[in-house]
Amino acid sequence: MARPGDDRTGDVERRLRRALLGMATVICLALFLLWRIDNPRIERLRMELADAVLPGMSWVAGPIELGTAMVRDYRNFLDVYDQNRELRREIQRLRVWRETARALEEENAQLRALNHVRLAPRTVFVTGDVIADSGGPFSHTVMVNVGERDGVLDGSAAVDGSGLVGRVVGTGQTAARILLLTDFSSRVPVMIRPSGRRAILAGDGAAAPRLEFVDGIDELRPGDQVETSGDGGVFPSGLPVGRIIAMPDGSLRAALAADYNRLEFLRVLRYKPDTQIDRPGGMVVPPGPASSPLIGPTRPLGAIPQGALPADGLPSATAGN
Amino acid sequence: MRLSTLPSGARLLRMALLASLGTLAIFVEAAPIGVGAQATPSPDLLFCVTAAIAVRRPASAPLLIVLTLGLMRDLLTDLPVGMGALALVLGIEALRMRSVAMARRSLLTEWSLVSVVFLGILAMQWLALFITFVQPPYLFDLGRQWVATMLAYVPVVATVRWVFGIGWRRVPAPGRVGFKGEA
Repeated sequence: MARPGDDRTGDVERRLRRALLGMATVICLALFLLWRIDNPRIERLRMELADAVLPGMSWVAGPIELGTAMVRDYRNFLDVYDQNRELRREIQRLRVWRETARALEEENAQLRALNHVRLAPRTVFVTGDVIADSGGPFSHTVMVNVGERDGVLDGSAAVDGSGLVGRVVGTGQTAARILLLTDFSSRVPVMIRPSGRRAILAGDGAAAPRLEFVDGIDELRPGDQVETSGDGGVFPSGLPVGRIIAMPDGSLRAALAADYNRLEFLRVLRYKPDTQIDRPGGMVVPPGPASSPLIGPTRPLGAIPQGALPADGLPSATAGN
Repeated sequence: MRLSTLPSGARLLRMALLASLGTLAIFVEAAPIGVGAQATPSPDLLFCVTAAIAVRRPASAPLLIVLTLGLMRDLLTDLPVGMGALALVLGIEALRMRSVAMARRSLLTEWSLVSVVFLGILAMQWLALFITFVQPPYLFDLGRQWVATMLAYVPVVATVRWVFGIGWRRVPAPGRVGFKGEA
Protein backbone atom coordinates (compact mmCIF):
# COMPACT_ATOMS: atom_id res chain seq x y z
CA MET A 1 0.00 0.00 0.00
CA ALA A 2 1.22 3.47 -0.77
CA ARG A 3 0.24 6.79 0.66
CA PRO A 4 -0.92 9.48 -1.72
CA GLY A 5 1.08 12.66 -2.14
CA ASP A 6 4.67 12.06 -1.14
CA ASP A 7 4.94 8.44 -2.28
CA ARG A 8 8.08 7.97 -4.39
CA THR A 9 6.95 4.70 -5.98
CA GLY A 10 3.75 6.35 -7.19
CA ASP A 11 5.81 9.20 -8.63
CA VAL A 12 8.11 6.80 -10.51
CA GLU A 13 5.07 4.93 -11.73
CA ARG A 14 3.49 8.13 -13.04
CA ARG A 15 6.69 9.17 -14.82
CA LEU A 16 7.06 5.73 -16.35
CA ARG A 17 3.49 5.83 -17.56
CA ARG A 18 3.97 9.28 -19.05
CA ALA A 19 7.15 8.15 -20.83
CA LEU A 20 5.35 5.08 -22.20
CA LEU A 21 2.48 7.23 -23.41
CA GLY A 22 4.93 9.55 -25.15
CA MET A 23 6.67 6.63 -26.84
CA ALA A 24 3.35 5.14 -27.93
CA THR A 25 2.34 8.51 -29.41
CA VAL A 26 5.58 8.79 -31.37
CA ILE A 27 5.30 5.20 -32.68
CA CYS A 28 1.68 5.69 -33.72
CA LEU A 29 2.37 9.02 -35.44
CA ALA A 30 5.32 7.48 -37.31
CA LEU A 31 3.14 4.59 -38.48
CA PHE A 32 0.40 7.03 -39.51
CA LEU A 33 2.92 9.01 -41.53
CA LEU A 34 4.13 5.83 -43.27
CA TRP A 35 0.51 4.86 -43.98
CA ARG A 36 -0.24 8.33 -45.35
CA ILE A 37 2.63 8.25 -47.84
CA ASP A 38 1.57 4.76 -48.98
CA ASN A 39 4.77 3.13 -47.84
CA PRO A 40 4.80 -0.49 -49.06
CA ARG A 41 6.13 -1.67 -45.68
CA ILE A 42 2.74 -0.95 -44.08
CA GLU A 43 0.96 -3.10 -46.66
CA ARG A 44 3.54 -5.87 -46.18
CA LEU A 45 3.08 -5.69 -42.42
CA ARG A 46 -0.68 -5.81 -42.85
CA MET A 47 -0.58 -8.87 -45.08
CA GLU A 48 1.97 -10.70 -42.91
CA LEU A 49 -0.30 -10.18 -39.92
CA ALA A 50 -3.28 -11.33 -41.97
CA ASP A 51 -1.39 -14.49 -42.98
CA ALA A 52 -0.56 -15.17 -39.33
CA VAL A 53 -4.08 -14.76 -37.95
CA LEU A 54 -6.01 -16.08 -40.95
CA PRO A 55 -7.02 -19.41 -39.31
CA GLY A 56 -8.37 -17.61 -36.23
CA MET A 57 -10.27 -15.11 -38.36
CA SER A 58 -11.82 -17.90 -40.43
CA TRP A 59 -12.96 -19.69 -37.26
CA VAL A 60 -14.72 -16.59 -35.98
CA ALA A 61 -16.02 -15.45 -39.37
CA GLY A 62 -17.64 -18.83 -40.14
CA PRO A 63 -20.40 -18.81 -37.51
CA ILE A 64 -21.01 -15.06 -37.89
CA GLU A 65 -21.34 -15.42 -41.64
CA LEU A 66 -23.73 -18.33 -41.13
CA GLY A 67 -25.85 -16.31 -38.70
CA THR A 68 -25.97 -13.33 -41.06
CA ALA A 69 -26.97 -15.58 -43.94
CA MET A 70 -29.72 -17.17 -41.82
CA VAL A 71 -31.19 -13.80 -40.90
CA ARG A 72 -31.03 -12.70 -44.52
CA ASP A 73 -32.53 -15.91 -45.84
CA TYR A 74 -35.32 -15.84 -43.27
CA ARG A 75 -36.65 -12.73 -44.98
CA ASN A 76 -37.00 -14.73 -48.19
CA PHE A 77 -38.50 -17.73 -46.46
CA LEU A 78 -42.13 -16.81 -46.96
CA ASP A 79 -41.90 -16.26 -50.69
CA VAL A 80 -39.74 -19.32 -51.33
CA TYR A 81 -42.54 -21.00 -53.29
CA ASP A 82 -42.83 -18.10 -55.73
CA GLN A 83 -39.07 -17.92 -56.04
CA ASN A 84 -38.91 -21.61 -56.87
CA ARG A 85 -41.51 -21.26 -59.59
CA GLU A 86 -39.72 -18.26 -61.03
CA LEU A 87 -36.39 -20.07 -61.01
CA ARG A 88 -37.85 -23.07 -62.86
CA ARG A 89 -39.19 -20.76 -65.54
CA GLU A 90 -35.82 -19.10 -65.82
CA ILE A 91 -34.06 -22.47 -66.15
CA GLN A 92 -36.35 -23.32 -69.08
CA ARG A 93 -35.52 -20.04 -70.77
CA LEU A 94 -31.79 -20.46 -70.15
CA ARG A 95 -31.78 -24.00 -71.60
CA VAL A 96 -32.98 -22.58 -74.89
CA TRP A 97 -30.31 -19.91 -74.71
CA ARG A 98 -27.62 -22.49 -73.94
CA GLU A 99 -28.31 -24.36 -77.16
CA THR A 100 -28.25 -21.12 -79.12
CA ALA A 101 -25.00 -20.07 -77.47
CA ARG A 102 -23.34 -23.38 -78.28
CA ALA A 103 -24.29 -23.10 -81.93
CA LEU A 104 -23.01 -19.51 -82.04
CA GLU A 105 -19.74 -20.43 -80.31
CA GLU A 106 -19.12 -23.18 -82.85
CA GLU A 107 -19.81 -20.85 -85.74
CA ASN A 108 -17.62 -18.19 -84.16
CA ALA A 109 -14.72 -20.62 -83.79
CA GLN A 110 -15.00 -21.65 -87.44
CA LEU A 111 -15.01 -18.03 -88.61
CA ARG A 112 -12.03 -17.18 -86.44
CA ALA A 113 -10.11 -20.13 -87.82
CA LEU A 114 -10.90 -19.00 -91.37
CA ASN A 115 -9.73 -15.45 -90.67
CA HIS A 116 -6.62 -16.38 -88.61
CA VAL A 117 -7.81 -14.20 -85.73
CA ARG A 118 -5.27 -13.96 -82.92
CA LEU A 119 -7.05 -13.89 -79.60
CA ALA A 120 -5.82 -12.18 -76.46
CA PRO A 121 -4.49 -14.63 -73.88
CA ARG A 122 -7.34 -16.23 -72.01
CA THR A 123 -8.02 -14.73 -68.62
CA VAL A 124 -7.99 -17.32 -65.86
CA PHE A 125 -9.25 -16.76 -62.35
CA VAL A 126 -9.00 -18.07 -58.83
CA THR A 127 -11.99 -18.04 -56.50
CA GLY A 128 -11.68 -17.05 -52.85
CA ASP A 129 -13.95 -16.88 -49.84
CA VAL A 130 -14.46 -13.45 -48.25
CA ILE A 131 -13.16 -13.81 -44.69
CA ALA A 132 -13.08 -10.23 -43.47
CA ASP A 133 -14.28 -6.76 -44.29
CA SER A 134 -13.36 -3.34 -43.01
CA GLY A 135 -16.83 -2.89 -41.51
CA GLY A 136 -16.32 0.68 -40.33
CA PRO A 137 -16.90 3.94 -42.18
CA PHE A 138 -13.20 4.70 -42.76
CA SER A 139 -12.55 2.35 -45.67
CA HIS A 140 -14.29 -0.13 -47.92
CA THR A 141 -12.15 -3.23 -48.33
CA VAL A 142 -12.56 -6.98 -48.01
CA MET A 143 -10.07 -9.77 -47.49
CA VAL A 144 -10.18 -13.08 -49.37
CA ASN A 145 -8.45 -16.32 -48.48
CA VAL A 146 -6.42 -16.62 -51.67
CA GLY A 147 -3.00 -15.06 -52.04
CA GLU A 148 0.35 -15.27 -53.77
CA ARG A 149 0.36 -19.03 -53.22
CA ASP A 150 -2.68 -19.23 -55.53
CA GLY A 151 -1.21 -16.89 -58.12
CA VAL A 152 -3.00 -13.69 -57.06
CA LEU A 153 -1.14 -10.61 -58.27
CA ASP A 154 -1.20 -7.08 -56.95
CA GLY A 155 -3.63 -5.00 -59.00
CA SER A 156 -5.74 -7.94 -60.23
CA ALA A 157 -9.44 -7.34 -60.80
CA ALA A 158 -11.93 -9.01 -58.45
CA VAL A 159 -15.44 -9.84 -59.69
CA ASP A 160 -18.50 -11.55 -58.30
CA GLY A 161 -21.11 -13.30 -60.44
CA SER A 162 -22.51 -10.02 -61.74
CA GLY A 163 -19.71 -7.54 -62.20
CA LEU A 164 -16.53 -5.85 -61.07
CA VAL A 165 -16.10 -5.55 -57.30
CA GLY A 166 -12.66 -3.99 -56.94
CA ARG A 167 -8.96 -4.65 -57.26
CA VAL A 168 -6.27 -6.35 -55.23
CA VAL A 169 -4.16 -3.85 -53.28
CA GLY A 170 -2.24 -6.20 -51.02
CA THR A 171 -1.18 -9.80 -51.24
CA GLY A 172 0.04 -12.18 -48.57
CA GLN A 173 0.88 -15.83 -48.97
CA THR A 174 -2.64 -16.99 -48.15
CA ALA A 175 -4.73 -13.81 -48.22
CA ALA A 176 -5.34 -10.81 -50.41
CA ARG A 177 -6.91 -7.43 -49.67
CA ILE A 178 -9.36 -6.02 -52.18
CA LEU A 179 -10.17 -2.32 -52.45
CA LEU A 180 -13.84 -1.98 -53.36
CA LEU A 181 -15.09 0.41 -56.05
CA THR A 182 -16.92 2.41 -53.38
CA ASP A 183 -13.77 3.22 -51.38
CA PHE A 184 -12.64 6.84 -51.24
CA SER A 185 -9.37 6.03 -53.01
CA SER A 186 -10.73 3.82 -55.81
CA ARG A 187 -10.36 5.13 -59.39
CA VAL A 188 -11.12 2.89 -62.39
CA PRO A 189 -11.10 3.87 -66.08
CA VAL A 190 -14.39 2.86 -67.68
CA MET A 191 -16.15 2.93 -71.03
CA ILE A 192 -19.86 3.60 -71.49
CA ARG A 193 -21.89 1.61 -73.98
CA PRO A 194 -23.34 2.13 -76.51
CA SER A 195 -21.73 5.56 -77.02
CA GLY A 196 -18.18 4.30 -76.39
CA ARG A 197 -17.37 7.37 -74.29
CA ARG A 198 -14.77 7.10 -71.54
CA ALA A 199 -14.78 8.22 -67.93
CA ILE A 200 -13.23 7.57 -64.55
CA LEU A 201 -15.27 5.77 -61.92
CA ALA A 202 -14.39 7.41 -58.61
CA GLY A 203 -15.44 5.93 -55.26
CA ASP A 204 -16.63 8.36 -52.60
CA GLY A 205 -18.09 6.14 -49.91
CA ALA A 206 -21.58 6.10 -51.44
CA ALA A 207 -23.18 2.93 -52.79
CA ALA A 208 -23.08 4.30 -56.36
CA PRO A 209 -19.64 5.73 -57.30
CA ARG A 210 -19.29 9.00 -59.24
CA LEU A 211 -18.42 9.20 -62.95
CA GLU A 212 -15.72 11.83 -63.39
CA PHE A 213 -13.95 13.31 -66.42
CA VAL A 214 -16.78 12.14 -68.66
CA ASP A 215 -15.99 12.53 -72.31
CA GLY A 216 -19.10 13.68 -74.26
CA ILE A 217 -21.62 13.88 -71.43
CA ASP A 218 -24.47 14.81 -73.78
CA GLU A 219 -24.40 11.41 -75.44
CA LEU A 220 -24.94 9.51 -72.20
CA ARG A 221 -28.34 8.36 -70.98
CA PRO A 222 -29.43 6.86 -67.66
CA GLY A 223 -29.35 3.09 -68.02
CA ASP A 224 -26.31 3.03 -70.33
CA GLN A 225 -23.98 0.18 -69.51
CA VAL A 226 -20.66 0.92 -67.81
CA GLU A 227 -17.76 -1.47 -68.30
CA THR A 228 -14.01 -1.41 -67.82
CA SER A 229 -12.12 0.23 -70.67
CA GLY A 230 -8.83 -1.60 -70.13
CA ASP A 231 -6.91 1.70 -70.23
CA GLY A 232 -3.78 1.50 -68.14
CA GLY A 233 -3.46 -2.23 -68.68
CA VAL A 234 -4.49 -3.17 -65.13
CA PHE A 235 -7.94 -4.57 -65.85
CA PRO A 236 -9.08 -6.46 -68.93
CA SER A 237 -11.54 -4.45 -71.01
CA GLY A 238 -15.23 -5.27 -71.09
CA LEU A 239 -15.80 -6.30 -67.48
CA PRO A 240 -19.34 -5.21 -66.53
CA VAL A 241 -19.38 -2.52 -63.84
CA GLY A 242 -22.98 -1.26 -63.72
CA ARG A 243 -25.44 1.17 -65.23
CA ILE A 244 -25.57 4.95 -65.32
CA ILE A 245 -27.94 6.81 -63.02
CA ALA A 246 -28.45 10.57 -63.24
CA MET A 247 -28.51 12.54 -60.00
CA PRO A 248 -30.82 15.52 -59.40
CA ASP A 249 -27.80 17.88 -59.45
CA GLY A 250 -26.92 16.75 -62.98
CA SER A 251 -23.94 14.58 -62.06
CA LEU A 252 -23.69 10.97 -63.16
CA ARG A 253 -23.14 7.92 -61.02
CA ALA A 254 -22.96 4.19 -61.68
CA ALA A 255 -25.32 1.77 -59.95
CA LEU A 256 -22.99 -1.18 -59.47
CA ALA A 257 -23.84 -4.57 -60.94
CA ALA A 258 -22.02 -6.43 -58.15
CA ASP A 259 -24.10 -7.22 -55.08
CA TYR A 260 -22.13 -5.65 -52.24
CA ASN A 261 -24.55 -7.00 -49.64
CA ARG A 262 -23.74 -10.58 -50.53
CA LEU A 263 -20.01 -10.70 -51.05
CA GLU A 264 -19.33 -14.32 -50.14
CA PHE A 265 -17.10 -15.56 -52.91
CA LEU A 266 -14.98 -13.47 -55.26
CA ARG A 267 -13.10 -14.35 -58.41
CA VAL A 268 -9.70 -12.78 -58.71
CA LEU A 269 -8.69 -12.55 -62.37
CA ARG A 270 -5.16 -13.45 -63.36
CA TYR A 271 -4.87 -11.17 -66.33
CA LYS A 272 -1.74 -10.13 -68.16
CA PRO A 273 -2.20 -7.70 -71.03
CA ASP A 274 -0.67 -8.43 -74.43
CA THR A 275 2.83 -7.08 -74.92
CA GLN A 276 2.43 -3.82 -76.81
CA ILE A 277 5.28 -2.35 -78.81
CA ASP A 278 4.42 1.32 -79.06
CA ARG A 279 7.89 2.86 -79.09
CA PRO A 280 11.30 1.83 -80.38
CA GLY A 281 13.01 1.98 -76.97
CA GLY A 282 12.59 -1.70 -76.28
CA MET A 283 14.58 -2.93 -79.31
CA VAL A 284 17.36 -5.33 -78.36
CA VAL A 285 20.52 -4.55 -80.21
CA PRO A 286 23.87 -6.38 -79.93
CA PRO A 287 26.56 -4.21 -78.29
CA GLY A 288 28.27 -1.92 -80.81
CA PRO A 289 31.64 -0.13 -80.68
CA ALA A 290 32.40 1.80 -77.51
CA SER A 291 32.14 5.14 -79.36
CA SER A 292 28.52 4.59 -80.34
CA PRO A 293 26.83 2.79 -77.49
CA LEU A 294 23.41 4.40 -77.95
CA ILE A 295 20.90 3.82 -80.68
CA GLY A 296 17.70 5.79 -80.36
CA PRO A 297 15.29 8.00 -82.15
CA THR A 298 17.73 10.95 -82.12
CA ARG A 299 20.42 8.91 -83.84
CA PRO A 300 20.21 8.51 -87.64
CA LEU A 301 19.91 4.95 -88.81
CA GLY A 302 22.92 5.39 -91.09
CA ALA A 303 25.10 5.71 -88.00
CA ILE A 304 24.37 2.15 -86.97
CA PRO A 305 27.41 0.03 -87.84
CA GLN A 306 26.97 -2.44 -90.65
CA GLY A 307 26.04 -5.85 -89.38
CA ALA A 308 24.93 -4.60 -85.97
CA LEU A 309 21.35 -5.37 -86.82
CA PRO A 310 20.20 -8.67 -88.26
CA ALA A 311 18.94 -8.34 -91.85
CA ASP A 312 15.42 -9.43 -90.99
CA GLY A 313 15.30 -7.31 -87.84
CA LEU A 314 15.20 -3.96 -89.66
CA PRO A 315 11.95 -2.06 -89.35
CA SER A 316 10.01 -2.11 -92.60
CA ALA A 317 9.78 1.70 -92.69
CA THR A 318 13.55 2.07 -92.87
CA ALA A 319 14.35 -0.98 -94.96
CA GLY A 320 14.44 1.05 -98.15
CA ASN A 321 17.13 3.51 -96.88
CA MET B 1 10.62 -0.81 -8.01
CA ARG B 2 9.25 -2.66 -5.02
CA LEU B 3 8.08 -6.24 -5.18
CA SER B 4 4.54 -5.14 -4.38
CA THR B 5 4.39 -3.24 -7.66
CA LEU B 6 4.67 -6.43 -9.70
CA PRO B 7 1.34 -7.65 -11.08
CA SER B 8 -0.45 -10.14 -8.91
CA GLY B 9 -1.77 -13.45 -10.23
CA ALA B 10 -5.34 -12.21 -10.49
CA ARG B 11 -4.21 -9.10 -12.36
CA LEU B 12 -2.17 -11.18 -14.78
CA LEU B 13 -5.25 -13.29 -15.43
CA ARG B 14 -7.29 -10.16 -16.12
CA MET B 15 -4.59 -8.90 -18.51
CA ALA B 16 -4.67 -12.24 -20.37
CA LEU B 17 -8.44 -11.97 -20.48
CA LEU B 18 -8.22 -8.45 -21.93
CA ALA B 19 -5.78 -9.65 -24.62
CA SER B 20 -7.99 -12.64 -25.51
CA LEU B 21 -11.29 -10.74 -25.49
CA GLY B 22 -9.68 -7.88 -27.43
CA THR B 23 -8.42 -10.25 -30.14
CA LEU B 24 -11.82 -11.90 -30.32
CA ALA B 25 -13.46 -8.47 -30.61
CA ILE B 26 -11.17 -7.60 -33.54
CA PHE B 27 -12.01 -10.86 -35.31
CA VAL B 28 -15.75 -10.28 -34.78
CA GLU B 29 -15.42 -6.70 -36.06
CA ALA B 30 -13.58 -7.97 -39.13
CA ALA B 31 -16.12 -10.72 -39.86
CA PRO B 32 -17.81 -10.10 -43.21
CA ILE B 33 -21.32 -8.80 -42.49
CA GLY B 34 -21.33 -6.30 -45.35
CA VAL B 35 -19.66 -3.06 -46.28
CA GLY B 36 -20.91 0.25 -47.56
CA ALA B 37 -23.69 2.66 -46.80
CA GLN B 38 -26.47 0.05 -46.81
CA ALA B 39 -24.73 -2.43 -44.53
CA THR B 40 -25.31 -2.55 -40.79
CA PRO B 41 -22.49 -0.56 -39.14
CA SER B 42 -20.29 -2.78 -37.05
CA PRO B 43 -19.76 -1.56 -33.46
CA ASP B 44 -16.28 -0.85 -32.15
CA LEU B 45 -16.19 -3.90 -29.90
CA LEU B 46 -12.49 -3.50 -29.09
CA PHE B 47 -13.19 -0.11 -27.54
CA CYS B 48 -16.17 -1.52 -25.60
CA VAL B 49 -14.13 -4.39 -24.13
CA THR B 50 -11.09 -2.26 -23.30
CA ALA B 51 -13.16 0.57 -21.81
CA ALA B 52 -15.29 -1.79 -19.69
CA ILE B 53 -12.16 -3.39 -18.17
CA ALA B 54 -10.07 -0.20 -17.90
CA VAL B 55 -12.78 1.69 -16.01
CA ARG B 56 -13.24 -1.13 -13.49
CA ARG B 57 -9.65 -2.31 -13.15
CA PRO B 58 -7.27 0.34 -14.55
CA ALA B 59 -4.11 -1.58 -13.69
CA SER B 60 -5.38 -4.64 -15.58
CA ALA B 61 -5.47 -2.71 -18.85
CA PRO B 62 -1.82 -1.68 -19.34
CA LEU B 63 -0.93 0.70 -22.10
CA LEU B 64 1.20 -1.83 -24.00
CA ILE B 65 -1.66 -4.33 -24.36
CA VAL B 66 -4.08 -1.58 -25.45
CA LEU B 67 -1.54 -0.25 -27.97
CA THR B 68 -0.83 -3.71 -29.40
CA LEU B 69 -4.53 -4.48 -29.77
CA GLY B 70 -5.13 -1.08 -31.37
CA LEU B 71 -2.36 -1.54 -33.93
CA MET B 72 -3.53 -5.07 -34.70
CA ARG B 73 -7.05 -3.78 -35.32
CA ASP B 74 -5.79 -0.92 -37.51
CA LEU B 75 -3.89 -3.36 -39.70
CA LEU B 76 -6.61 -6.00 -39.95
CA THR B 77 -9.66 -3.80 -40.45
CA ASP B 78 -7.97 -1.14 -42.58
CA LEU B 79 -8.29 1.85 -40.28
CA PRO B 80 -5.78 4.70 -40.65
CA VAL B 81 -2.76 2.77 -39.33
CA GLY B 82 -1.43 4.27 -36.11
CA MET B 83 -4.15 6.87 -35.72
CA GLY B 84 -6.83 4.35 -34.69
CA ALA B 85 -4.45 2.90 -32.08
CA LEU B 86 -3.38 6.32 -30.80
CA ALA B 87 -6.99 7.46 -30.44
CA LEU B 88 -7.83 4.25 -28.56
CA VAL B 89 -4.83 4.59 -26.21
CA LEU B 90 -5.62 8.24 -25.43
CA GLY B 91 -9.32 7.45 -24.92
CA ILE B 92 -8.54 4.62 -22.53
CA GLU B 93 -6.05 6.84 -20.64
CA ALA B 94 -8.79 9.45 -20.23
CA LEU B 95 -11.15 6.80 -18.83
CA ARG B 96 -8.42 5.44 -16.56
CA MET B 97 -7.91 8.87 -15.01
CA ARG B 98 -11.59 9.06 -14.11
CA SER B 99 -11.76 5.52 -12.84
CA VAL B 100 -11.71 6.38 -9.12
CA ALA B 101 -14.43 8.99 -9.52
CA MET B 102 -16.54 6.53 -11.51
CA ALA B 103 -16.42 3.69 -8.99
CA ARG B 104 -19.86 2.59 -7.84
CA ARG B 105 -21.65 5.20 -9.92
CA SER B 106 -24.65 4.14 -11.98
CA LEU B 107 -24.27 2.42 -15.34
CA LEU B 108 -25.93 5.44 -16.96
CA THR B 109 -23.17 7.76 -15.69
CA GLU B 110 -20.50 5.34 -16.90
CA TRP B 111 -22.26 5.00 -20.26
CA SER B 112 -22.42 8.79 -20.67
CA LEU B 113 -18.70 9.20 -19.95
CA VAL B 114 -17.75 6.35 -22.28
CA SER B 115 -19.95 7.73 -25.06
CA VAL B 116 -18.27 11.16 -24.81
CA VAL B 117 -14.82 9.54 -24.92
CA PHE B 118 -15.79 7.45 -27.96
CA LEU B 119 -17.05 10.58 -29.68
CA GLY B 120 -13.63 12.09 -29.03
CA ILE B 121 -11.92 9.04 -30.52
CA LEU B 122 -13.98 9.28 -33.73
CA ALA B 123 -13.45 13.04 -33.94
CA MET B 124 -9.69 12.65 -33.54
CA GLN B 125 -9.47 10.15 -36.41
CA TRP B 126 -11.71 12.29 -38.61
CA LEU B 127 -9.60 15.37 -37.95
CA ALA B 128 -6.31 13.52 -38.54
CA LEU B 129 -7.57 12.44 -41.98
CA PHE B 130 -8.93 15.89 -42.79
CA ILE B 131 -5.68 17.63 -41.83
CA THR B 132 -3.55 15.23 -43.87
CA PHE B 133 -5.72 15.73 -46.99
CA VAL B 134 -7.28 12.27 -46.95
CA GLN B 135 -10.99 12.15 -47.74
CA PRO B 136 -12.56 11.59 -44.27
CA PRO B 137 -15.69 9.44 -43.89
CA TYR B 138 -19.15 11.01 -43.86
CA LEU B 139 -20.23 12.27 -40.46
CA PHE B 140 -23.51 10.40 -40.88
CA ASP B 141 -21.61 7.09 -41.15
CA LEU B 142 -19.54 7.98 -38.09
CA GLY B 143 -22.77 8.75 -36.24
CA ARG B 144 -24.16 5.33 -37.14
CA GLN B 145 -21.04 3.68 -35.81
CA TRP B 146 -21.23 5.72 -32.61
CA VAL B 147 -24.83 4.61 -32.03
CA ALA B 148 -24.00 0.95 -32.78
CA THR B 149 -21.02 1.04 -30.39
CA MET B 150 -22.95 2.64 -27.57
CA LEU B 151 -25.74 0.08 -27.99
CA ALA B 152 -23.14 -2.70 -27.84
CA TYR B 153 -21.46 -1.28 -24.72
CA VAL B 154 -24.17 -2.40 -22.29
CA PRO B 155 -24.09 -6.12 -23.27
CA VAL B 156 -20.27 -6.01 -23.26
CA VAL B 157 -20.30 -4.59 -19.69
CA ALA B 158 -22.78 -7.28 -18.64
CA THR B 159 -20.51 -9.99 -20.11
CA VAL B 160 -17.38 -8.57 -18.48
CA ARG B 161 -19.15 -8.20 -15.12
CA TRP B 162 -21.29 -11.32 -14.89
CA VAL B 163 -19.51 -13.85 -17.11
CA PHE B 164 -15.90 -12.97 -16.32
CA GLY B 165 -16.49 -11.48 -12.87
CA ILE B 166 -14.63 -8.19 -13.39
CA GLY B 167 -16.48 -5.79 -11.12
CA TRP B 168 -15.62 -2.47 -9.49
CA ARG B 169 -12.61 -2.67 -7.22
CA ARG B 170 -13.05 -2.30 -3.46
CA VAL B 171 -13.18 1.32 -2.31
CA PRO B 172 -10.13 1.85 -0.05
CA ALA B 173 -10.43 3.14 3.47
CA PRO B 174 -10.40 6.96 3.89
CA GLY B 175 -6.88 8.37 3.67
CA ARG B 176 -5.45 5.26 2.05
CA VAL B 177 -5.42 4.14 -1.56
CA GLY B 178 -4.20 0.92 -3.12
CA PHE B 179 -1.55 0.65 -5.82
CA LYS B 180 -3.03 2.73 -8.61
CA GLY B 181 -6.31 2.21 -6.88
CA GLU B 182 -6.19 -1.55 -7.51
CA ALA B 183 -7.40 -3.96 -4.83
